[in-house]
Amino acid sequence: MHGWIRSLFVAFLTLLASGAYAQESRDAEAIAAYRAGDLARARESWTRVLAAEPRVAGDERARILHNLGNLAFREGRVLESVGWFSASLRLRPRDADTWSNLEHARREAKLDPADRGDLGATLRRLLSAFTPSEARLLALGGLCAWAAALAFEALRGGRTARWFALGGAAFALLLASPWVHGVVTRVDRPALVVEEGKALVRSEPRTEAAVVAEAAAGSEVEEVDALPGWSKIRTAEGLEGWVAATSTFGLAR
Amino acid sequence: MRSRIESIRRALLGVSAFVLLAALAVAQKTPTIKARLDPMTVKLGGQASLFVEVENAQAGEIVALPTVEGLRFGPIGPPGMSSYTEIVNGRVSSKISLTWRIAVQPMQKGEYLIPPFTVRADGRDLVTRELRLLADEDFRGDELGLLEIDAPKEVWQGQPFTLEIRMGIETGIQGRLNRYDLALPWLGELGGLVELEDLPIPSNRSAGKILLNSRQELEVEGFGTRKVGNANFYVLRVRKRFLATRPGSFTFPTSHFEFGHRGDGFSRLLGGGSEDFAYFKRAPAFEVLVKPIPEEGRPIDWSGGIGTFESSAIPDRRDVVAGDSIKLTVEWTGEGNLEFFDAPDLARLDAFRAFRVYGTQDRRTPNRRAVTYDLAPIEASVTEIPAVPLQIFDTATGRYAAVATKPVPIRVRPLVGATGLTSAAPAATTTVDLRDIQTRAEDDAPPAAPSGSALGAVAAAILAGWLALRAWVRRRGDPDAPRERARRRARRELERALRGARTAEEQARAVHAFLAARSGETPEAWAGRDPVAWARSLAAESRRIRPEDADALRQLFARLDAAIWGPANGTKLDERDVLALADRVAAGGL
Repeated sequence: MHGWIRSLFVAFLTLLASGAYAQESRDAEAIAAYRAGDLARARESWTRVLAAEPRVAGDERARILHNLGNLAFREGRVLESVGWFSASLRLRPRDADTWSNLEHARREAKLDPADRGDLGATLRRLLSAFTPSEARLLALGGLCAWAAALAFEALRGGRTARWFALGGAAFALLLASPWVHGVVTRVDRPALVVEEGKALVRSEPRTEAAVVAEAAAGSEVEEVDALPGWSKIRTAEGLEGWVAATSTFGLAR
Repeated sequence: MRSRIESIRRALLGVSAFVLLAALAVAQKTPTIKARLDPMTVKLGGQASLFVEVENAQAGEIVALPTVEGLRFGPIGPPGMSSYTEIVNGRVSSKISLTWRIAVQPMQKGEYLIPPFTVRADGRDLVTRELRLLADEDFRGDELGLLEIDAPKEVWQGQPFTLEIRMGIETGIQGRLNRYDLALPWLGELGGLVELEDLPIPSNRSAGKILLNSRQELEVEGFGTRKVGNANFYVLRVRKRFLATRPGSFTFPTSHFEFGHRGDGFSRLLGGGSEDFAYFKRAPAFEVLVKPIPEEGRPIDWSGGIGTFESSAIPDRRDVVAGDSIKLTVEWTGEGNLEFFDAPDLARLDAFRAFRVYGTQDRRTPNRRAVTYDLAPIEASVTEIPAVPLQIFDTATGRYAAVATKPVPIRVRPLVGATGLTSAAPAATTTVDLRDIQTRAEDDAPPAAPSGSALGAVAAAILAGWLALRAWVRRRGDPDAPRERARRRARRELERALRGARTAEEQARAVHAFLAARSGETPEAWAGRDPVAWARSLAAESRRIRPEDADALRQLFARLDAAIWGPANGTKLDERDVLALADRVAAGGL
């Protein structure tokens, strides 16, 4: 009985290892094709790496998305490359190369920079500079500090201990703010409008339907539904409607 | 004065009337024409003059000269006009004539008939008579003279070529000669053939000047003596350069070299001097075939150079600081159109991107082309001046080829306090581009982090724990009450007091203060107290202190009393022993 379980475990590990090896070789193949100028082959290989199981996650997935952004840019699909870089930054928000490429692609696409440099943009950039995991770990650290301050207050009492407990609470809130920001601004299925100029938002998923809104190229929307050839989106202003499926680029990848 | 002016006026009127009468007289006469050759017999190489005279005409022109094979006519210039008027017995007689003189030169031996040709005078067509010219060989000139022309059989279109013309005079008659005339009838007459600047003759080899086509002077080079048969000839040499601008065959007709003696006008007038004579030496006609430059294989950056070239490059300095000027002289030598090709523009060559080109100085001669480039390396990383290429058409192989100089090693030192001139170089263009793809696989696994709900639970637990802890602590009293704060401070105060105590009495007071703060009493309560008895009483009040601690306290008090009142006379106890006992007592529950 025990031997059978051990064989099954070994087979499972072998399967995992072979899967990882296949992904590495596909990645190497894609890099070689990119270097050789065979962009179609590189795209196919990297797309397969993204779709492979077990799922490539974290920084490695962000790297592949970054490379696909470069590839789309080289193929002349600048708006799509903006989408790839944005998707990569959702997984790895502090990667300087990807930020640089995103701003370059946005500039080439005649879009406003992702980081305008004003105070609000700087704060948003600071709050979104952590991955969800990092934000949660940071919040946990803040809670630990707050717990220590509270314990001090409980044991000693007095005004100083109460100020200490208050300071601990503020510190915990500060550390938890990226996580809170992520929770508040979280969109289930974010997407980027990649239609040149603007995408026409229609009331129903057919070309004869009335246009109820316009979504500018490069703006982020939420994809709330989908039909073959059509995507239902919600704009930042809260308007909902249907656009051609090719007009948007999903950012959760 | 007045009478003098009047007389001049009368004279002018008279002259005017005379001219008017003469013109009327001429106008009444019919124009006539005469044509003659002088001489009627010439030696081969010599020339005869064709005189055409029209009388009684104010204006006229030769419509066209006839074409006679083997006979070459010179250019038709404007006619000379002569007139005279005579009055005989009151009768006015006038004559006006127009005279053309045209050179005629036979190319071959034989008899030539010049057919009648038309001259238009005062609106009338006048026809000359047939003329006869006899040309005979100059056997004497053949013996006494020498004329050779060396020419290439084939050349390429655009390729300069040289005709070497050697003229010789038999040394025996050289002293009697004072006239040399080289007749090249084809010079300036062949379409598509451009005459280039003559090759220079060194001053020590110049033999003076002779006539060229009886019109202009030509410097010749002394070429020494040469023996042909039994005769010695003093040889003169001329090298003329040409360039064919079109492909095809160029035929150069017979050329002649005339040498002889001709007295000047003054000696002729006096009838003195030696007799005039002339000899002619002939060189046969020849052909040069000009081949077209092929289009096939022509490089985009072909310089227009045609020939066989060699190149070299010499800088004026090899050790410079970035930005310093280097004069690089590139020299091309060989056979070809060295004067005409476009020298390479180094500013447009990729190999010279690390250089700035300030200007060039171009020097051209028929056998050497030297271009001096004013260069400046703008980066300290430069280690050599790259090769300077020149795309030419190689006439030796009949193909396009590149002639390049050898790279010249140099040393470029960086500018002190500067990073180089690259940023200031106008040729250096940079642009913003994507950062490259990322090829190193990321092996950092995403950190394990609690979920959002777990965080919420932790926060709630922290709040609950705090409340519970707070309630438990305050069950024993307010931790922030003065007595509690004094109790917590007692150890620190004891240490400070012991450090400042100078006598055993002061140490005793510090110990009493410590015990009072810990027990919630006044220090005076501990003066003279028996700790063991006090410990027993605490046990009755359900408060506890360990008996051994109480015993140790009693011993401490005894030692302090002994130190204060005994023979030691106030000597202090060891602080460490006191502090150790205080810690022990506090840990025991006091």
